[in-house]
Amino acid sequence: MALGELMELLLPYVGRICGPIALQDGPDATQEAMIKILRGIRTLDQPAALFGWARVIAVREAVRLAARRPVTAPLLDEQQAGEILSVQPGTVRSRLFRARTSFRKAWNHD
Amino acid sequence: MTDSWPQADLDPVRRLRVLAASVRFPVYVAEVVLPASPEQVWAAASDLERELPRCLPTLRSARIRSADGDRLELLATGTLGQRARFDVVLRPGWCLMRSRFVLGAMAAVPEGDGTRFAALGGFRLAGARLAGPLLTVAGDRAMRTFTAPFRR
Repeated sequence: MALGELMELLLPYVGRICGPIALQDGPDATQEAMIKILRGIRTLDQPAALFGWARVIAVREAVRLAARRPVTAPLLDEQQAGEILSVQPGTVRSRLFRARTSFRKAWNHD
Repeated sequence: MTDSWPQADLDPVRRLRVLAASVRFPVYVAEVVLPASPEQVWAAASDLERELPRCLPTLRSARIRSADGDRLELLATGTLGQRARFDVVLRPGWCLMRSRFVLGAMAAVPEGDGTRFAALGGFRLAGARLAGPLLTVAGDRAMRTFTAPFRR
């Protein structure tokens, strides 16, 4: 299969993996991942493993680019979060507790 | 949920960069920003029968023999009479041309008030590394010829 066809085949898949991880760096991550995939394709022994192998490269590149960008989300304490949401700090605390509990349940369930 | 899932895509120029970095033979690659709309630039670039012989002096003619959607078959004839059959993918902003021995690509995307245009060309041969300097001369010349009408 020619490189152009491989790119058409893999690009939507790689873009769906890189987008949510690398966010605004998604196109850069996708570009880097596609180069590594197309360069390394000859080393792939089993054609059936193509998508799994491409996925590993895409995740690695997306994480690498996402890690380069500093976290810009402001860290709020319960008082500040309460002011923004117009609720008492105690309400923020209990909502956070419920969110953590349900996240833990969902995480352990999987 | 999938509607808001942030999917990353590559515009045609980025696709061309991926191709240039992935092939195992030397290729000529150049990018330029032209003071013309993508529609104007692509109207010229996609006119393969006219532009290929105009920009590549070793080519006598280029004829599209068949078309199926965005897939074309193009027959190129050199000045010495040699012929090559190209499989072509041609869509707005993207063109990929491949024969047994040659790979070529063009891409265009909007940039500011103009258009970023990229081109790639190379020989798909084992000894093609030796042709590197020749490729640069021919590539630069083709790029100059193609872009000249937009610079006036």
